[in-house]
Amino acid sequence: MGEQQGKSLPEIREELKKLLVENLALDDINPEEIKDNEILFNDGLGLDSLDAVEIVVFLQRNFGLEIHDMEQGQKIFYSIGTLANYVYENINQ
Amino acid sequence: MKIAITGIGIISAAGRGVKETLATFKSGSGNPGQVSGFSTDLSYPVFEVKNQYVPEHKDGMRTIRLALIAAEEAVTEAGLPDKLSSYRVGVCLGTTVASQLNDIDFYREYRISGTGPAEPVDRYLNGNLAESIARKLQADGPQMTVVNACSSGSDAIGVAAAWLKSGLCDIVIAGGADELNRVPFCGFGSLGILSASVCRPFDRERRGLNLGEGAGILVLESEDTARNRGIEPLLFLSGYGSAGDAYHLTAPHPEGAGLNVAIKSAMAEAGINPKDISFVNAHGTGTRENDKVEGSTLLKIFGPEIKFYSTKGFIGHTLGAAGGLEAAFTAMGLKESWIPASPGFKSVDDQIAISPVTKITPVKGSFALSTSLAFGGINSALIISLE
Amino acid sequence: MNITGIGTVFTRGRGINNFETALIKGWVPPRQQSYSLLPDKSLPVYTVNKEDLVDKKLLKKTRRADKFSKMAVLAASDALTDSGLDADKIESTGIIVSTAFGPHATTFRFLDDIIDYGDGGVSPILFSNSVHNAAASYIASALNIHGPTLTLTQFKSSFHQALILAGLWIKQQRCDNVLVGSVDECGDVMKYICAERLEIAGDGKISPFRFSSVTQAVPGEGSVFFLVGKQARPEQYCKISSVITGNDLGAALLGQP
Repeated sequence: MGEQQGKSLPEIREELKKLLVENLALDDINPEEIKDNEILFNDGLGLDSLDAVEIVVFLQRNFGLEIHDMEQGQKIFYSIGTLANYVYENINQ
Repeated sequence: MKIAITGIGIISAAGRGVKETLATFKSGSGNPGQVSGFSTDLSYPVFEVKNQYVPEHKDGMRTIRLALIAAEEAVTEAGLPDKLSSYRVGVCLGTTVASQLNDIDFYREYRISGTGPAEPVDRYLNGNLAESIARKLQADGPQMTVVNACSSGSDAIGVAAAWLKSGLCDIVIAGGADELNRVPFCGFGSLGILSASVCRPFDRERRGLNLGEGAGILVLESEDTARNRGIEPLLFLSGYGSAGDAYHLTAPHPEGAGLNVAIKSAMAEAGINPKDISFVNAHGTGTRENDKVEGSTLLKIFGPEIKFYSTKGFIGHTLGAAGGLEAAFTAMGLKESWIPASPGFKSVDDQIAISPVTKITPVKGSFALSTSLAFGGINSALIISLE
Repeated sequence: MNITGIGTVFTRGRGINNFETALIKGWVPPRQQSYSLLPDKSLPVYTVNKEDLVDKKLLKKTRRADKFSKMAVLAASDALTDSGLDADKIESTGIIVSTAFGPHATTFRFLDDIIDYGDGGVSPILFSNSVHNAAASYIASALNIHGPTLTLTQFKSSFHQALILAGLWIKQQRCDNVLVGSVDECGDVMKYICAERLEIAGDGKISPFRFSSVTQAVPGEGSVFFLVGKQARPEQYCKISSVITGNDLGAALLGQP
């Protein structure tokens, strides 16, 4: 995932918003309208456990990152902010 | 009308036929291994049927082979092998894999060239499960292939009961069959619900399910039809209930709403109360969600003393076959008056608060319950009885 | 049983009124469609248009659904609406879905994942949608139906078996109403299989009463659902008094055993 390294945190955040909308069929949401700290589950974007495992897959495909422990996953997937931070910190290692 | 069970045919990783399966149950544990029937780089353990019973053919016919072995055993026990044509015999079988056009080699070639080999398509078009078994056994009554995911086998038995009660046919060959296949193996893996070690239904440390394969088939007919043929019923199908959670595509309703209704509806049909159930053959897959919901619901309905077990540690989760195999195991438990230890269980999960039996347990009483919870929020309950 | 509502999604739109309009207007040629991998080959197909599958309110509850499931959800929902059934009657309603080929387009997309990303890199949403009872599950969620649910898949008499079962559920008091219907799609691979296996009508016309040793076909896709119920309703379509299937259909129709 060489092309992902060097991207800024805001760039990663915007890319993640697009990936969420595309992969989770959030058809009536515009990626640009998603707040930077939007909560992903329940009252935020309203995602559920099936979306969570789909996020695991697109993180692997687009950023080469593996999440094996869904308890760790819960913390990472709390919000756009925590997700973007996780990706930014791990692809630049 | 009382619906009699006059034949039982089973094949799974626990063995072929009732005798061998009971011996495996007595041993207390199953024997999962790595996948050998197809190539994969996933290492989750699975419960394959021994090669001596169904050798690898890689011809896409494995589910039909498994079903035929079980169907022939059941039909023989019911005293029917050469006499099917004298009766209107329906065939109602559940499956998941055998219903899908999913041949990877065909599709790989199609992606490259835009054309694919004819043979996998022919096999698929001629290979509908109920249609194929009906054809092979020369049964000319109604046919149905039920694809209700993990409750297909139970629901197929429910349909069979409906057919018999309406007089649509005299006898039904009902149950389910499924082979271990790369497509659901990858799919369940992606959902994060396959365990990297042997499954531990209802245990505090459970981490998921193991897939398995097999077929469980019953011969069902009215008690009158059986006795008129000079056949003594083995047991009876006394109740069937089914209800939906309408909650989620893959997760069960957290309060077990649908399961609660299904169990109560089956008991109402059988004319019994919770105290009349001598044991429960649970779905018990070993996933965090299923076991929590199912265990809590069993506790709520039957109280903390209910004897229950899961056989997934002997045979894995056989998907479309599960309901059929588990109906057979429930029948065997009643007939033999004992149920096996629930393999993989060591410590109670406080969120479930009840434990399955951990050693071979004598059971008495006339009624037993088999439960199934499926993807898509379907919940089914079968009640089998001695009288 | 009584047919109290009908819903359909088909090549010329959505809804029983559109269906009636189409019948009155008469034949419209199918679109010639190429297969994605062999663009110089094509065949006439009656496909459902994407625009007819847009329903923000209903599909919000089923956002991940694929085309197969969307067609079923919309047709089932329309049947319920068409019947005028009170919302509080929904508790005693079952769902029966019949299909011949299931959501095969999604199955092949899942196989794409296996081939392209490996066994460990596949999409769980694609897998979940490829399970044959996904459509019934989406219908139950979208319409909040908690009754018994069953999906059946076979090539012979699939809808008829579904209808027979619906009648039995009502007669045997398993539920008072059943949303019973069919759905099938014609994805890319299916177009190829149809072209290889069927005698395709070059002029796009199916002629059911032109007796010939080779039936000319035009593949299509769509969904239709009926709400059938125990209770007759004033504006209902009709009753179904019996459904018979079998090899000796002639004898059956004559009431012979």
